[in-house]
Amino acid sequence: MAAIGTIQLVGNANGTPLEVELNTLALRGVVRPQDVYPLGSYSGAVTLTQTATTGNVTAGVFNTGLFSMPPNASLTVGGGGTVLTLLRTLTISYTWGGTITTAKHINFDAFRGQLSGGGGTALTTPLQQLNSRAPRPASFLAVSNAFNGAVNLQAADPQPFGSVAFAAPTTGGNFSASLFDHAEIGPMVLDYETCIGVKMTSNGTFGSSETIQLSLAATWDEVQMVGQQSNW
Amino acid sequence: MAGIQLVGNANNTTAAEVEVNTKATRVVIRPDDYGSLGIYRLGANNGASAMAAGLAAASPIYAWRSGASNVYIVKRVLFMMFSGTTGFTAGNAIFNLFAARSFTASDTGGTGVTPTGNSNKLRTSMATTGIADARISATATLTAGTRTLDAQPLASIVTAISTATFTQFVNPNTVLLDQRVGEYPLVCAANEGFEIQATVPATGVWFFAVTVDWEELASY
Repeated sequence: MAAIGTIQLVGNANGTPLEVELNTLALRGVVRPQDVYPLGSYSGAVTLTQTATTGNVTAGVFNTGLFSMPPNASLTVGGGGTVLTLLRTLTISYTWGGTITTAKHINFDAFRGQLSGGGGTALTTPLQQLNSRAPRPASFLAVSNAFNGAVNLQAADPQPFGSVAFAAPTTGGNFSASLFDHAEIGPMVLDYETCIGVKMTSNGTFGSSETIQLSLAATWDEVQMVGQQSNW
Repeated sequence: MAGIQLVGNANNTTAAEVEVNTKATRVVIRPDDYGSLGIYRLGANNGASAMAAGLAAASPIYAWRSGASNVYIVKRVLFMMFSGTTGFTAGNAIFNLFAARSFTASDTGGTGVTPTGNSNKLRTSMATTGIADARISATATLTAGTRTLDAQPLASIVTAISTATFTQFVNPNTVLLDQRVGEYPLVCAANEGFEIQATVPATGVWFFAVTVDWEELASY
């Protein structure tokens, strides 16, 4: 079919005609973040520092961090819509030092599950907006408040969605890795009362003079579940 | 001639904006439209017990097989490995990612990690994954199923291995496959998939982990 002529696509308030590259004949585009209005985009981190354990933790199964929507955090916007949390990135970092008697391996596994069973230390008054005009986030981060402290995750998936493993020799060291990254497959969409828990396990013994510090960091959007702004 | 404005669907009174200076239109990237299927992420490690010494060369240690219908879009495969309580003889290790085609029997052995129910969906309302099998070694090689591997790997990691115990030889989240926006993914039809094979030096025991991102679509 023959072309019907040429037309120019112009902008909205700007009224500027869109450009086409001279040689590649490609339209120019600029990538913008997800439209989250009237909610927001957020980044937060929580840290556990344990300078001396009170005892050994062997083959420990203890939850170290939690990304959670609490039951009272359903944010109602406009015509009764509720909030979806779009998890973009989840990162764990860990250091170990002091007197380390046993080399070991450490796993961090990230699971999706249901409502938190409580416990741990929450970042209770977050001001994590990436744009200060956005409301405070409905989601929150929490971390265990003791070396083997519990931040419970109920009805977790049987398989983790992120798993990293690393060697922890007696010389001490640092470790940092992504547990989730939306770049290729899009965000993880968390409905009301859905949680993300990170579980730390090890095959070795932690001595009473061994020190650890870990941090869990996340970035996420919050959007309306229903409405023309969202389509999620 | 005056220009025209491009407006939305439900938002059909909202016109797309064009930047004043770069003359580029604003776009926002969304995930693939998965329709009634879904998008998934699966992490797995070989567990609390180490891979035993003496693994034969080119042993399968991770296998992933698509289901009988739909299209499986593998976007990313990440890998990591380190030594355990017994060190290796110094040498080199090789970890190869092969495309696997024409499965008629899945690999066996190790630990089956195929998600069921809501597990490993990126959203609960997505469909349960249709993959036929995902499997990771626990302490020894997998037993190869019936499938045809490509003659050459899609990706390969080689690393020098020392005698040191509890030493990281392949860093966490090292990329075996990472097909970003605009790059062609590994598209698996029915009964296709991939496999990771390991060749490691003698004597050492070791641990590893694998993470896979994929989408399931009606067509692509």
